[in-house]
This record gives sequence, structure tokens and C-alpha cells, in this order.
Amino acid sequence: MALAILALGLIAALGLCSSSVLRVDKAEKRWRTQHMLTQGAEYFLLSGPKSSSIPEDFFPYPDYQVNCSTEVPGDFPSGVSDRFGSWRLITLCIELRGNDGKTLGRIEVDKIVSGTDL
Amino acid sequence: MKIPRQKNFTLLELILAVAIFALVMLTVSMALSSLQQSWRKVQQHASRLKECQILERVFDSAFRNAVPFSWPSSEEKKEKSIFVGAPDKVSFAYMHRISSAEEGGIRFICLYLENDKLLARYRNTPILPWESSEDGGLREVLASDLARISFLYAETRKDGIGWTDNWSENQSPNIPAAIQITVEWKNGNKEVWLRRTAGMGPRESFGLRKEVSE
Repeated sequence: MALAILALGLIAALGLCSSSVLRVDKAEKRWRTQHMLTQGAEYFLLSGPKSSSIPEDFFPYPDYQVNCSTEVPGDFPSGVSDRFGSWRLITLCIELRGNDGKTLGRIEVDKIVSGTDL
Repeated sequence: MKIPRQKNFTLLELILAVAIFALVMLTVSMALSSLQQSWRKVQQHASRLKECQILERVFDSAFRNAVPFSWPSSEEKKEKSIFVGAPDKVSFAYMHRISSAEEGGIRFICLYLENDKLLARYRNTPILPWESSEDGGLREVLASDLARISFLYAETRKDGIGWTDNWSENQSPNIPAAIQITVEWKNGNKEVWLRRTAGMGPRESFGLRKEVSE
């Protein structure tokens, strides 16, 4: 009986601890994904959508890639234009991918950019 | 008269009991040691995550809300920018949420490495580069066990964005378009945070867009 209680206690403690490890790992992974996406978004918002890739100094994560593409934002109210002068509203789509090409996260940011930067 | 015989443990029974006890203790100690290792791992990961979140909070609020700020220099008798952009230290002014009347809307911050710790020094009055003493203000330890920190500053050029690790006080505008901090821990971990200041870009600053001549 005593042995059974001891064994159950130990199993419960080990279970709690391993679930804590999993939860912390998951939280860290989620934070890292968001952090890498933010890093990519900040870089492309700063240097413009023309930048094809992000240098290693700004994205030191060799197992991941971040890419930026542009889209024309839709759903404009009638009579409202997406451009004024040489400026145009575009949507920057920033995607984070693993080395296997799987998309891990995506951010879409609307930005007014100069026509020459497109 | 017959004396009742006492029932004692035999040597074999004793050896068996001791062996079982040793086995149980061995199992318990192994389980406890594995429990301790797991707990240590949880603690390390949790504290690292917490440290990164603290750094992110500070960089998000300070870098993003950095504003140009000048103050009269008594020696040169002219207003000078208070922005200090060194490879391992940065000091500037940023817009801050007003939580008490004494604080005001602008807070001054200096980020630097001291004794393997990344420190943030906050003050409600300007932290002047030409100040001789480093008194006053609040100090907060943002991260510890660091090997090094380094800063990069983005400057807007005609052909786009350029990067420098030393921001000159004569540069215009007197704050960079973005600041990147690289934090390297002694255990080999490395993180970078790039933040644009006040939404500036190569062709825009503080909401004003330069017309493109090309």
C-alpha cells in the first residue's frame, strides 16, 4: 500500500513536471515565431517591399526564412482610390517559413508607399 | 515446562527486506533526480522567456516612441541633440504614457551593459551626453549573464537605408529611422530586436512624405 502511494505520488510529480516543460516549450516557440515575424515586418516596413531578402545581421535564424510580397488591398468604398500622387496603398504580406517550406506564420500590414519603391 | 518459541526474522528475510528497501530508495532517488532536472529546465526556459519579454516590452515602448530632443549646451552655447548612439550604448528621449503629473510625457532612457547586465536608466529630466556624473534616475536590470550587446542605427539615404553603429550628433534628423539591438548571452544564445522609431522610413518621417523626384 505504502509503495503504491509512493509510486503514485512520484508519477504525478513527474507528470506535472513534464507537462510544465511542454507548456514552457510551447510558449517559447509561440513567442519566437511572433518575434521572427515582427523582426521581418520591421525590416521590410523600413527598407520597402523591393528588398528581396533579409540580411543575416537582422535575421540570425538559419532554420527559418522570412519573405515579403505585396498585394493590392481590396474592399475600398466606392469613389475611394488606393493611390494619391505618386503614393499608393499596398498590403505587405510577411510570411515566416521553416527550412522545409512550411508556413509558420503570416502578417499583413497596409502601408502607403511611393510608386518607385514597388 | 515448555517455553513458547519466539518467531524471529531469518537472515534471508532480513537480506530480502534490505534489498527491497534499497531498490525502492534507488528508484525514488532516480525519480527525484529526474524531477529536479526537469524543474531546472522549466526554470531556465521560463526565466529566459521572461527576460526576452521584458526586453521586448522596453524596446517596443522606448524605440518606437523615440523623438528628437535638443537641450542647450552651456559650453558651446547652442542646442545640441541628446541622442547618443554608440556601438554598445544608446541614450535618447521617448514619448511615454503619463502615469503621474511629475513624470511628464517625455521620458529619457539610457541602455548600456554593466557587469554582464543590460541596464536601463530612466530619468524625467534629459540625460545629457555632456553630463559628467551619472547620478539620478531609476535603474532597471533588463537582462543578466550577457556576453555583449551591440546597436545598429538606420539612416535614410537617397538610395534607401544605410546602417551605422555610431550615430553622429550632427546627423539629420537627429534620431535614426530605426534602432537594432543585438543581445548575446554567455551561454551562446543570441537575439535581435529591430524597431522603427516613430514610424519613420526612407521617404517619410513623422507622417510627412517626401515627394519622389525620380
